[in-house]
Amino acid sequence: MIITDLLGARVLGPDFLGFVSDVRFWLDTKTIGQPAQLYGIVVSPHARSSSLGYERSGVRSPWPIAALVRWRHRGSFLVRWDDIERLDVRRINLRSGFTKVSSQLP
Amino acid sequence: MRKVLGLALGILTAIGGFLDIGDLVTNAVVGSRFGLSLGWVVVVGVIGICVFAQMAGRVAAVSGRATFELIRERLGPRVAVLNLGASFLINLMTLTAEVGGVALAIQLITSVSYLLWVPFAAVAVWLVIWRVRFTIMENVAGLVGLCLIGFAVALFLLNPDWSDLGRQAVQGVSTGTEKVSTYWFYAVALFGAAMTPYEVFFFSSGAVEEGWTVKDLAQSRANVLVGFPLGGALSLAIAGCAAVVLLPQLIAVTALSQVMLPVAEAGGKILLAFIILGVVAATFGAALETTLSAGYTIAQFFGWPWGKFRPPAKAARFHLLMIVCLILGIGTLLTGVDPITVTEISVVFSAVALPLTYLPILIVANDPEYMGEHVNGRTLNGIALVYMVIILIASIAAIPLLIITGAGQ
Amino acid sequence: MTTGSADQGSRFLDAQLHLLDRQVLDVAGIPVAVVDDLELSDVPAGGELPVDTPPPVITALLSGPVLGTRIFGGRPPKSRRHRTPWTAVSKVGVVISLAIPGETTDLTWTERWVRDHVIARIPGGRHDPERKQNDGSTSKGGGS
Repeated sequence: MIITDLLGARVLGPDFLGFVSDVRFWLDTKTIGQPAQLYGIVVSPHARSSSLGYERSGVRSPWPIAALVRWRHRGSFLVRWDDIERLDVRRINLRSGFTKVSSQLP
Repeated sequence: MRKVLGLALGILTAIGGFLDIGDLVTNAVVGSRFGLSLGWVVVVGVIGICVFAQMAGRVAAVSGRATFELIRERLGPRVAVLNLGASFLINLMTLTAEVGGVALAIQLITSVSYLLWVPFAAVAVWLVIWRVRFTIMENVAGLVGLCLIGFAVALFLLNPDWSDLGRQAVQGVSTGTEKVSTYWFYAVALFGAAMTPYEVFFFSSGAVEEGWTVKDLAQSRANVLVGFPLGGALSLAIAGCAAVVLLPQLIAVTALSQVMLPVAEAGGKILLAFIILGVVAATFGAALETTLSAGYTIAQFFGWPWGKFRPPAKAARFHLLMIVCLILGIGTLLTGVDPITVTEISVVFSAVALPLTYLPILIVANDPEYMGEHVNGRTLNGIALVYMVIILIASIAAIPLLIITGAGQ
Repeated sequence: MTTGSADQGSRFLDAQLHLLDRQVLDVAGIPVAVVDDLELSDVPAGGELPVDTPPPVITALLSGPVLGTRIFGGRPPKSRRHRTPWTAVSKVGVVISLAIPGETTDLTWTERWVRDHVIARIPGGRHDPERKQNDGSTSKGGGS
């Protein structure tokens, strides 16, 4: 599987929730070559991709651009791997009772 | 002397941006048709390029990333490919024009057709890129190019009516016999020429070539604040000379030799020789800058090893690409196409590529992951945002104006 | 701010923000490629995933023809992707650093080909412009 299979995929749970705007991995950096595990997917209700990331980081300047990007990704959230029920071609189904987590990066 | 040499990157970048063959002719054209009434555009452009080149230089020094690398990292491959296509085409057109310009300048000296000099000029450019150290290249091209100060000398020697010139400059939109749309076409063209993307591609890659780090931030700033205003001032001097000598007589500028008329009138043969030396060095420097920029943008997009600081064997595709570009340039010029028209049109297209180039610089200059504590302050952000609006307006207006005015007829 | 710092021992990496389109450098700091795509381990597709299925992991960085499909759409077959195994990655920062020399990966094939067949044939191709006469020692392998 390559990551472009996941990016931009529709997320349903069971209603249409949005698109996968990014995929988050968890990495243990103490040793070289540790696997980076898929932690969750970032779902954005209105936009297919997010490469600037203002809605996930604390960076606020330059303010018009940050504000524009945050508006474009309003309502986006993170869903953890455990809450994913099916991975199909360009479509992801979530388990019932999935939790929406904030997509902010720590 | 060492301090002056330390400013060579900024001076060379500015020469390639403000005083290359296209700008030399465009400034003279503008002066001969509009006097100094478009002078304010040059000032606006100089401030703009200073703001963004300073940011690009700071980003390159602190994070080691040159501008085109950032465009792909921050805006993604689709947007970067668009910018790459536009920028590469512009670089190719401009380097063709510059090689032609070197040949034209030599024709002025030798009276032998420029077509004969084209291959020599291209090979000379290639040899310098292939073999000469980056610092030597920038020092020689930058400093000899400063002979163009002769235009400022000529302007003083012409003893112009300063109050008249001042009135033209301040009056701003005064068109005389020209149409308003033509005025704004040249305004956009001058602005696009002042802020051409290859200036920041070259300056930021040059910063990496020179190995600038956080300790060199002051030097980076000095390069910008000396180089670009100097380039802008000389642009104005060229326009001023044309305004004083050519405008009253309604002489239209269509060839490089006419750009020299005011100088010949002011200072005779000695000053003319000085200026021609400056033109040869400036167009040669611009040829180096645009050829290297063509290499930098493609190599940085694809992640190839790049840079004159590496032996060519360690940056093989980078060098091969530039050789191919120069060969294409020679081929195009030998078909007889006028190099100067080529560059005047490419300047307008670069106005279109401006937003995609300068937005990532602004974004990264604010990103602590790249910049640590050296992120932009609020005032700088404010000015930069104002310029982003101006840039957007210019880029939207560029092509329509080109069509409406038939490229400034 | 944007990510946890590396010395905290673990961090989150977002594909578009931190991995995709990033420059990859080899162990000597020489640019090797740009990350065009990421290869993940396979999960059972199509059906419902059992509750404790382990998550996929990144198995490799991908470059090459994969860029065309990333921009325009579609999916190249496995044989056309140039892989750098994830195990070779030593550090993820503003750039991604590998622990192996670039020469050992497929990614540098085109660079090596151009070097050997074009550049090395032009006089002065191996000359190092930054150092005067002690060129032999400029780097580990020098030329080929």
